[in-house]
Amino acid sequence: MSDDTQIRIDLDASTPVNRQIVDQIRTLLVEGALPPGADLPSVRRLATDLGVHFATVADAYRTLAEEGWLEISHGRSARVLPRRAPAADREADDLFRRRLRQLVAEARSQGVSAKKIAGELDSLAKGMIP
Amino acid sequence: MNPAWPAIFPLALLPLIFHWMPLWRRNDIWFGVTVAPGYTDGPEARAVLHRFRIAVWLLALAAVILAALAASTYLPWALPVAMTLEIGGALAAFAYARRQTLPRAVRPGPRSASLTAAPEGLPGGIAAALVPYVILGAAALYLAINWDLIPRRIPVHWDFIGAPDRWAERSWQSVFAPLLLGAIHTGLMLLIALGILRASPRGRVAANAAATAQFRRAILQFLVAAVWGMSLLLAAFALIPRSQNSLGGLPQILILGLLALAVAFIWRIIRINRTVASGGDGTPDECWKLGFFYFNPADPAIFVEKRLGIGYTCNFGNRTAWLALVLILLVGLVPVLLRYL
Repeated sequence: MSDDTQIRIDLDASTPVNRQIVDQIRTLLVEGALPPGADLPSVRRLATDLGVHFATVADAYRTLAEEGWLEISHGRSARVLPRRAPAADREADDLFRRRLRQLVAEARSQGVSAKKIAGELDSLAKGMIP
Repeated sequence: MNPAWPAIFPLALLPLIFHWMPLWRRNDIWFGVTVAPGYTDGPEARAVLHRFRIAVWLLALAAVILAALAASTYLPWALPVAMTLEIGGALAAFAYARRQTLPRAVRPGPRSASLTAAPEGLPGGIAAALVPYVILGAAALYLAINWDLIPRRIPVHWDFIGAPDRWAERSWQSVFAPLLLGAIHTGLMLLIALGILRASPRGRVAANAAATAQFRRAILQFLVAAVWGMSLLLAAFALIPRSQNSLGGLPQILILGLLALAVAFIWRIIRINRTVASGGDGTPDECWKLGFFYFNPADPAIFVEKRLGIGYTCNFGNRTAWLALVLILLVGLVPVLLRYL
């Protein structure tokens, strides 16, 4: 069964689970797989499906709501909001460069060519709607 | 007839169930342990299974000898001891087989969840919940309207072959007890179905999400069908006194029908688990105490798929699951309370 809106968490990973949830949902939002108006599962439902504490999912939803992606209200499922990307400030630029640098270094150390990395970056950046 | 003899039948049937039970599993689970694909077909896994089965059959032999002894000499303690020996021994053998398998455990992979899965509902929708109550309510109404036609002495218990062996004076307790039990049973089963729908994972392993969805659907269909069947059966039992203690063998037909239904569903669920590439279940092995008790306070699920047997079991690390168990226990006391009302 193919499901383009599936998220995966790894409890053994060094990244905290709420961060993993935020990163993956944000990716789906940016890619347009979760369009404005779409309802996300309730905190209880997603926590039960993933086997993590309710607070972990609630925290992830809150982070995305603070970024302007979701509308959350008590007793209702989280809803995707239409969102216009804000102008990136210097801090966001720096953070992006640092994270990208680490990722590119990791890929290069594993033998991925510079051309392949550039091509993938180009296609990902153009394919996502902020 | 000594009452011990009919007990020998389940004592002889149980080892057959225990013999096959370790195979009613997901492909990558062996004696309650998540293992690598293909491990279960290897000689090591088969040797563990072989030893488990020898233990089960030796225990069964001892239990049947004990029960036969009880049948011939009428020892009241022998039957419970035989049953405990057989079931407890098989569970201990399972726990031992799990210990032998644990060194081969593999870490379950990442857990997954769909963000856009269609909401699930009870198979049959609202009718699934209403029909059993309509059946029981119609029987109750019929008995209330025809109260004077109900004999003053009515059967309230039947023996192994279906002949009444206990009678009671006509009263609201004795006449309506089967219907009341039916209503409680229906409510409990529907609550469990709701619990599975709302408080069990829909599939934590991306590779087997389709198998898990089929499994859930089949279990819920079985619950609904069993509730309908039990309501019909208990309504038939309630109507027996009014029908001059005979309904033309209807209760027996319903019992056989329910048994056939259970066998058909069990077979279907086993096939789902065994024929689809079903993998593991996404729960941590270390939280399965003895291989069959799930205790994970960090998991908000109230129900999870069993690792021994078929269906769902409680997460004993969840307080709500304990509340549900206490509720079931209290409901189980209703027949006892009815005698004193």
